Amino acid sequence: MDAWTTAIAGVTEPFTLLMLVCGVVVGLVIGVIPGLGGIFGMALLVPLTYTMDSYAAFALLLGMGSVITTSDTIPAVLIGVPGSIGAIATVEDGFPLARQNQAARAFGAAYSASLIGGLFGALVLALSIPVMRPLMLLLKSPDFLAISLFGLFFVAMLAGPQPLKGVIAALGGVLMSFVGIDDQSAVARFTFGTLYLWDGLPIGIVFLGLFGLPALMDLSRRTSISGATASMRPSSMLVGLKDTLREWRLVLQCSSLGSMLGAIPGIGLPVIEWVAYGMAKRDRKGGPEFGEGNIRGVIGPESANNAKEGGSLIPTIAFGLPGSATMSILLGAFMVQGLVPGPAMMTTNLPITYSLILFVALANILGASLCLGLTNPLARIALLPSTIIIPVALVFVTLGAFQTHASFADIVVLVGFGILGHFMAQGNWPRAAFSLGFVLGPSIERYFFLSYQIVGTDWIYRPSIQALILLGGAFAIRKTLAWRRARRAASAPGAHRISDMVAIALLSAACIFVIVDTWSMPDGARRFPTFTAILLLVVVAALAWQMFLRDRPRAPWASDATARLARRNETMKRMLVPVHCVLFASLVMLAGLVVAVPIFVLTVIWSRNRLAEQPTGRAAAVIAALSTTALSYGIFGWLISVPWPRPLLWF
Amino acid sequence: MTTSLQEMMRSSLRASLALLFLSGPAWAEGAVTLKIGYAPGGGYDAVGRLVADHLGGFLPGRPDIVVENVDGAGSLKLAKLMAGSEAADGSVIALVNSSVTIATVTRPELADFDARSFNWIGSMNDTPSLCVVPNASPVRSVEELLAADLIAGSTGKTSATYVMAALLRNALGGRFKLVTGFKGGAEVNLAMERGEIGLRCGYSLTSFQALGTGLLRPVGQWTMNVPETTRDLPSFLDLIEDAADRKAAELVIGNLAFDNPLLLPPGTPQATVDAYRAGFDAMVADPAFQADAAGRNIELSPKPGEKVAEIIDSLVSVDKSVIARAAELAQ
Repeated sequence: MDAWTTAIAGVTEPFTLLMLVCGVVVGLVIGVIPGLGGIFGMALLVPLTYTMDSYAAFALLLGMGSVITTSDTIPAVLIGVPGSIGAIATVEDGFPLARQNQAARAFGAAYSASLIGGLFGALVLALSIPVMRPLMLLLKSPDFLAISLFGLFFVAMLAGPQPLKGVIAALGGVLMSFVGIDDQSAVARFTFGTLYLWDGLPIGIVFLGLFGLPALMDLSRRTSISGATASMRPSSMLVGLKDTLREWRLVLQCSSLGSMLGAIPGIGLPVIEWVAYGMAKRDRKGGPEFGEGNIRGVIGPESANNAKEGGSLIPTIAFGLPGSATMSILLGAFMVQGLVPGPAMMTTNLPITYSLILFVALANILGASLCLGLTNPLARIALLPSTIIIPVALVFVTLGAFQTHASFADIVVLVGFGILGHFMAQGNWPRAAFSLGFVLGPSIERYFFLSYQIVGTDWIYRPSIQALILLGGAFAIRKTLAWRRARRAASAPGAHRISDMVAIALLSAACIFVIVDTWSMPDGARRFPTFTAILLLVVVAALAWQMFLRDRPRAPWASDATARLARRNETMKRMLVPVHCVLFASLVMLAGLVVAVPIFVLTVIWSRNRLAEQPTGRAAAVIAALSTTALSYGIFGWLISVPWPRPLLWF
Repeated sequence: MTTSLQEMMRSSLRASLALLFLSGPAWAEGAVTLKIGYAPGGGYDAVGRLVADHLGGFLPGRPDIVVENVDGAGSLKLAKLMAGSEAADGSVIALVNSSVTIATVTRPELADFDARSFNWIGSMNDTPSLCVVPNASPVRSVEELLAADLIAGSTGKTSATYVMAALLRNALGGRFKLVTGFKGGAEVNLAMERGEIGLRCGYSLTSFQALGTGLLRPVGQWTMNVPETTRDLPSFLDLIEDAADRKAAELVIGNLAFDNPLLLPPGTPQATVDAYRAGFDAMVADPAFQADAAGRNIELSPKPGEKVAEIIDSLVSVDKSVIARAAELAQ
């Protein structure tokens, strides 16, 4: 009990509490801006903590780290662009809710779920202190492999209406994750001679591209997000709160999941988000279809992602092994404070460990309360005309990607994955499965090699692997049967889309390329990509057989010419978004941030105005341009430590 | 707090001005990035972050130093990046495992760059490299270690965790198996603690003292000169009887004399290199830096950049037969 008393005394110091508030505010701001996340926040704040005592330092850092996943819901719900990688699943149902003018309800549910999740994570951390080391020591390399594989398989099967497409998307993501210098034998894989790709495809940009840009492309067809002009009902937020309380079982399930998976190194936020979404998706509970605004699709992921922070502190404290990228930098702060993670954190430094729990809990309470207070004004953003929202959001999405390496290649990756994400969404290829394959690919490769080297083929007999095979098999059979039933119930098979044929052809070509390209590489670098490519080729062949031979379409291949023309026009309109993205980035490189932002925002508003039914007024356009410039300069020019390229025009 | 906040505001202001009206050397205007070749939480990370906290103060323009962990292949990935793609204007410096320099001659197919082309700023330690076993391990002596059926854990094939274990096995006839693919020393330690592996080599004495949790025990050391602190620990080098093997082993462990080296990419202007070297020398002589290092349990035995470059030059230009034998021993 003494340790708790010391911890509480340390936490309630006025300066410590002030730092907690500062951390929470910074975390909320970072969460709102797409492209910025915990890593950015930690890198920003860690240098400030060098001269602080341990309590104040961790108050600032954990205050920030704990609430990013609370406020990243705001852009996810309002414009369909996740604020951080911790909100990619929230978009699925949060954004449709905003479109139905229920943004306030989505926020009410999300924040309350975040709060409960965060508190639950802190509780798990508190309870696990005495057992965290022995428990973590029980897990061996094959178990980590099983967990990674299971996460991937679960989401691949659950993500889309067609199981095979899910598996293909997941394997495609795994293949993409192999880009870069491989850890086993240090050779460059699929870098095409560019040094940029040596570090691998930057995960933050890949996710912004996959989920952020397509949302904006979709938005470009609408006049405003909600498409309605009805006023916000203040009571909607309470409806959301009640939704969360009604779904208390789901909240607890997803919170436990978040904190447990958070404790496993290599399992990132996207995995937790999608697995939680999958859990929520098992039962519609009388609400609308998932993807069309079912509130459970918001509550599940939101309660899981905030619970993660507590969970990922476990391996950090117990072994000095960061459970997430944010924790990696937090570990640096441990060193600065002279704290050595390990048994000492459970004995001599126990008060510090307890204070971490208190910070996570307090930050969640504070973060959720602040966000709830802001819900109603924020929800009104959904009513703003899309002519304003698109350029403003594009500025932040582009700069968020651009700050990663301050290189034009960042934009190429963003736009490339934006277009890929768009076509995946159009063709019912689940992006969730792809993104998970991308995150888990390297972990699966590493844990596979470690398991194989350490125990040989015996890793197959590990109970966790056996359980995975059994559960996975049962799950796959059930899912396939359900899909077949649904297919039979449907009338004649519809026309197959040309895009599916193109996708199948491209995927096959990519697989053959991977097999040929890795042929001459050392064993360690070759085995996994080759295996993945062969597996992918088999699944693609199965899909081709299923689509084009077994279910030979009775309808003609293409739909009528008018519909095709309409679709083409629509696609052209959407493609303006990636084009704008490239133009804006070029403008930044040419003229610098301060000049580029207002010119870009005003030009896009002006050009879109010509197409819009209700044009934006001049005053509104100028206000939007000026405030975006000030805000983006404040964040990306003033706070950020990335050296930006010199504007070409002035030098 | 106030000082660092002011410091940060000042440097942010500088960075913003730089954004608007850029002029002068890039590294003096904004932040310098110190890339560390390992994941956070290990010994290299601890030393890198210590340097990041102090070095900026001894450079013209007092730039902020931002740490970035670029882990992979026992820091070979970062070395390759530094040799190839990083800006040679002083805005990026790196802390790598000194063993990557030896890898350029022993494993040129992997480390395909010239270690002499880097501009070495200085090195932090001249420290023995330990082989450790879990406290509960029955292994008590070098003989028992060589006879035991163990698994040794390592990060990449050119990392000290791999090379030092391979050398021990090949030069002294060990039976243990080598496993690669862990992500940093912290993960190797954890695998040892959960009983998956039984040995870790390439654990520098500095890191062991800073991060050792009392759960691991050293069995022997690789070093050219045994320091006072580890006098009682067997020196593996002294146990090698074959003269040619000993010479080759000396090449393999030669990098221990300049562990935790800091470097600038090839082609960096000489004035920038000189400024960094002067800054490094001033930093390691600064009592505040030494006190901070002591506070973080990091032992220092620094060498200036010129000396590091000299050692590397002599190491990589030895006789071809020695290189060939060293390559065999390090496999």
